[in-house]
Amino acid sequence: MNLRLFSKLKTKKTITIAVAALVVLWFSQITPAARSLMLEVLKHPLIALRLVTREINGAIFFHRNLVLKESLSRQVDYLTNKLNELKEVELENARLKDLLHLKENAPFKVVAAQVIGRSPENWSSVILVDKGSAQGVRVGMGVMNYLGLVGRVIETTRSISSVMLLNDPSFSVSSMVQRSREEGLICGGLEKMLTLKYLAQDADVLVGDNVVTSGYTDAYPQGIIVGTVMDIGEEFSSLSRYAIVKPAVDLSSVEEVLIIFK
Amino acid sequence: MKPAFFLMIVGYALLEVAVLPFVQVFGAKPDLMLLCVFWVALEFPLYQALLISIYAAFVKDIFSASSWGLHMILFPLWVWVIKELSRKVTLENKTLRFVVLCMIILLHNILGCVLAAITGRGLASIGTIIRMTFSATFYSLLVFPLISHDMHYLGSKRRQPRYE
Repeated sequence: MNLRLFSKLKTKKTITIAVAALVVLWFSQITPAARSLMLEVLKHPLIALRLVTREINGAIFFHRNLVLKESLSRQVDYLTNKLNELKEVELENARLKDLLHLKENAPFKVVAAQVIGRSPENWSSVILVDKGSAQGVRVGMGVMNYLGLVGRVIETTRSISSVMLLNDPSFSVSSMVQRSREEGLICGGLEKMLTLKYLAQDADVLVGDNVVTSGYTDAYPQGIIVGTVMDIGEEFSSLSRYAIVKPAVDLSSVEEVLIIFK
Repeated sequence: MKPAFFLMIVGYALLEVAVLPFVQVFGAKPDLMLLCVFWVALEFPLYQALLISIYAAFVKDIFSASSWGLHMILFPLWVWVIKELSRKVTLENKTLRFVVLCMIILLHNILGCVLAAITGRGLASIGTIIRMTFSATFYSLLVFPLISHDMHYLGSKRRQPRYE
C-alpha cells in the first residue's frame, strides 16, 4: 500500500517536473517574439541611463578627455589640410575618369545612430543602437563609424537595432590587405584583436599593413578600413597563415555608428 | 514581496546593459540577474522562486543577442538545483553559500557557452572561454554581497516567517 502511494507520488512529481520543463522550453521560444515590444518600452530608461553614465564618465575622466581633446584638435587641423589636398586629387580623378568614360561607383548612404546599450552576456559582443526599421534599418546592413568597420545589424525593432561587433565569435567578413590585395577572412573571438584567416602560405603581408573590406560581401562596400596587422602566424596545419589585426575602431568604447544603406 | 522588487530586477538588467560594460574585468561582467535568482532561490519558496527566476530570465533574454531564451532555461534550472540541494544540505552558512554560488556561476557560464555553440553561435578560443568564465565568476562573487543587501531590503517582508 505504502509502496503504491510512494510510486503515485513519484509519478506526480515526475509529471510536474515534465510540465514545468515544457513550459520553460515554450517560454524560451517565445521570449524573442516579445523582445521587440519590450525593447520599445525599455528604450527610454536605457537612453536616460546611458546619458547619466556618459556624464559620469566625462566627469571622472575629465583630465584624460582634456588631453585627448587637445591632441584631436591638432589632428583635425592636420586632416583638414590633408582633405584639401585630397579634394584636388578627387577633382583630377573625376576629370580623368570622365575622359576615359569609366563608370562611377555609387557612393553608399549612411544613417547615424547612437549606442544605447550592450548585450548583458559575456559570450557575445553586441550593441544596441537607437535606430530601427522605422528609419529603414534592415537585418544584415553593415555598420561603421568614421574610423572604420564596426559590425553588422542582426536584429531590428521599430526604433532599436542590435549590431554584432567585429569581435563577436559569430562575425566574419571578407577582407584584404590594402597594400598587396591579399585576401582573407576577418573573424572575431571576443578579444580586443581580430584574426585575418586563410591567408595563402606565401601571402605578402607585413606588420603595419592596413586591412580593408574586399567588397565581396554585399553589406560592406569595398575599402572600409577594418584594422592594422599587428602580428603574423602560421596555422597549425601549415596550409595557411593568419594575421592578428588590431581593429581601427575601439570596440569597447564606440558611442556613435553609421549604418550603411546600399 | 514589494512591487519594487520586480522593478529592481529590471533596474539590474538596465545596469547590465548600460553601465557594466564600462567596468568590465578581463572582458567579463558580473551576472547581476543570476545573483538575484540565487538569492531568491535561497530565500523564497519553490514556486515563488521559480516565478521570479522566469521573470528575471525574460528580462535578461530581452537584451541578449540569442535567438531563443537561453536564460529562460538556465535560471529556473538553478532555482530547482538550489532547492534540491537545500533539502540535503543546510545553506545557512555563508561560506557554503559562496561555494555553491561559485559552482553555479561557473556552471552557468560553461552551460551558456555550450548551449550557444549548440545553437550555432560562434565560439571564442578555449583560452578566452576559461579566462572569461573565471573572471565572471570572481567578479560576480565580489558583487554578491551588494546584491544580497539590496534584495534583502526589498524582499524582507517575505523573509521573516522563515526563521520563526
